[in-house]
Amino acid sequence: MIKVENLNKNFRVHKKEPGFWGSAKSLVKRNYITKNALQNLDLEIAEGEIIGLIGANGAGKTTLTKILSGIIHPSSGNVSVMGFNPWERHNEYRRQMAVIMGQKAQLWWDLPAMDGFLLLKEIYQIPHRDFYDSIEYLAECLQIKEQLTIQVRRLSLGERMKVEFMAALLHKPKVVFLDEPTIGLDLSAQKAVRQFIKDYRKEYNPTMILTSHYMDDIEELCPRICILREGKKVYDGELSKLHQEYAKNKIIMAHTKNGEDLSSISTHFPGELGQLRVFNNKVMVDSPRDKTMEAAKFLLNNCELMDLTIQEEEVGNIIEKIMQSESPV
Amino acid sequence: MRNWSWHVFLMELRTLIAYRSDFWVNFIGQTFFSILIAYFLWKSIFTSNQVEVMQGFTIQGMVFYYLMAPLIFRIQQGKGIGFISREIYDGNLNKYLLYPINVFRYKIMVYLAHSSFFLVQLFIILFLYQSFFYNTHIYQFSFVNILYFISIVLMACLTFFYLFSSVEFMAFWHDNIWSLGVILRFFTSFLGGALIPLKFFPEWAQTLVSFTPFPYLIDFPMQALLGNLSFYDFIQKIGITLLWLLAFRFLAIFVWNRGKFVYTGVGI
Repeated sequence: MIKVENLNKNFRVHKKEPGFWGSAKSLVKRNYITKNALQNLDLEIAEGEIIGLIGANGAGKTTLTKILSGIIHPSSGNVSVMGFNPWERHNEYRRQMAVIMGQKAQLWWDLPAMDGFLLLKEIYQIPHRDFYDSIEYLAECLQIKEQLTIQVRRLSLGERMKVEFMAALLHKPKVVFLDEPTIGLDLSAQKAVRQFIKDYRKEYNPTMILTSHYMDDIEELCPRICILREGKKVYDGELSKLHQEYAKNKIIMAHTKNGEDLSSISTHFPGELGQLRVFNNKVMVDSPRDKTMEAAKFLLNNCELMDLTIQEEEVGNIIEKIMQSESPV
Repeated sequence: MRNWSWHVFLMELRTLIAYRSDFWVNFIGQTFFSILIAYFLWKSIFTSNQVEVMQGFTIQGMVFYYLMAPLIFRIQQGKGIGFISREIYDGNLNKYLLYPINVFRYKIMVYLAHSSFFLVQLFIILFLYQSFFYNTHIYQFSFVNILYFISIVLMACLTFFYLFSSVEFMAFWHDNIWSLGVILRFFTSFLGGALIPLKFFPEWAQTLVSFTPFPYLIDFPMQALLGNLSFYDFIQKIGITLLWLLAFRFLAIFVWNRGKFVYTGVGI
C-alpha cells in the first residue's frame, strides 16, 4: 500500500545570528545551512495496517507525512502510495487519502462545520446518500451532532478536533495520515479520539500512519512502530517486541513493614542479580531479565514483605533510549 | 458533474456577510469617507484655481469619479494583499494541496466572490446616486454601458488576479512579501487612475501608461460605466485586456510551478 525507498529530503535553512546585529547583518548577507530532514529512509506499510511514527521534534516525522501526502517534493528517492506518486497530486490519489493535523485547522473558521462538509461533499464528489450516512455515522461515533451548526471558531479544542476528523473521513479515505491528533486535548477528549480511531478502523480498515508524542496513543493504537532520529530510521518493528529486544532489565518493586532494618539486605544483595535501591520501606531492584526471578526469591527469603511487583520498563523510556542512542539499533 | 467551484464562491460570500458590523462599516464607512475627502480636496483645488471645469471634470463629475474609482479598485483587489502569500507563509496552503481540486480555480472563485460582493456594493451606491442626484446628469443609466462595464470588470479582475498571484507566489522564496503587495497595489491605483484621473497626467505619461496593464484595470471600466466607449473602443480595449490576462496567466502558472518545488509547508 505504501512503499518508500531511499527517501531523502533536504531543506536549505537561513541561519541568523541572535540579536539586533545579527538581524541587521542578515539584511545584507545571509548564511544558509542544509538540513537533512530525511536520510535514506525505507519503509513499507501493508494495506489496512496502522503504524506509529515516533521521534523527537525535528526527527523528520512531519516531513515524511508531508511527502507521503504530496504537500512537498522529496529531494530524492521513490515513494508510492496505492500505486501513485504522491507528489504528482493525481486527483484520483487525493480522493482516496486524508490528512488530519492536530495543530492545523482545515475547516473554514468563520462558518459552521456543516457548511464546510457540504463543500467537501462537492470537492470529493460524494453521492448524496453516502454523504448523509457518513455524517450520521461519524457524528454519532464522535458525539458531536449538536455542534455541527456552530461556527468552527466557537468550538472547544476537543470539539474542533472531532469535526476535523469528520471532515477528513467523510469521503472514506483508504489512507489516513494522523499528525498528532490528540495534541492539546484533555485526557477524556484524548480517550474519545483514540476510541473513535479504533471503532473507525474496525468499520473501514484504512491504512494509517499515526504521529504522536503521547505514548498512550501509540500503545493503544499501533501494533507496529517506526522510530526516526535525525531523519534516519532507527527502529521499525512490533511494539510488543520492544521489551524483548531493548529492555534488558525488569523492575522489581517491594514494600516492607515499617521500621524493618534494610541495611543488611543492601549489603548482602548479590550484585549479579541487579542493582538494588532502598527508600524508607521501599525496595527497588533493576534486574537483568534472566535473573529477575532469582532476585525476587532473594527478597522474599530475606525480608518480611508486604507486597512485591515485577514491572516491565515503560515503553516510553525504551523509546527515549533508542531515540537518544548514538548508533542505529 | 458537480460543481464545487460554485460552492466555494457561495461559501466565501457567506463568510463575507457572516460579520454584520464589518459588512456595514465596509459598505457605508469606506464610501462615505472617500467621497467626503474627495469633495473637500477638489473643492479647494477648484476654488484656488478659480475654474469650474478641469480636464473636462466639474466638481460634481469629480466627486462621482472619486465615488466610483475606489469601488472599481476594490472590485479588482478581491481579497486583497496576502490572499495567497499569507497561506504560503503560515502553511495554510497545505489544505488546498490535499484536496482533489485545482488550487488556482479555488482561489479564483474566492477572489471572484469578494469582487462580486464589491460589485454589488457599487451598483447599490450607483443606484442611490442616480436616485438622489439624477438632475446633475453626471451619470446616465444605459444597459449597454452596464453590460460593457460588467464584462470589462470581470476580465480586469482575472487579469489582476493573475498579476497579483505572480507577486504573491514570491512568498515561496521570500516568505513575507507584504511590501511587494503594497507597492503593486499603489502602482495599480496610481497608474490605473484610482488616485488621480489619468486625464490629469501629462500627454507623454498618458502614452507611457497606456502601454502598461494598469489603465485597463480601473480607467477602462470607469470609461465604460460613464458611457465614453464606442463599440469599436470596447472591442479594441477588451482585446488588449485579454492579451494582458493571458500573459499574466502564463506568468502566474510559471511562477507557481517553480514555487511549489521549494514549498516547505511549514506549520504542521
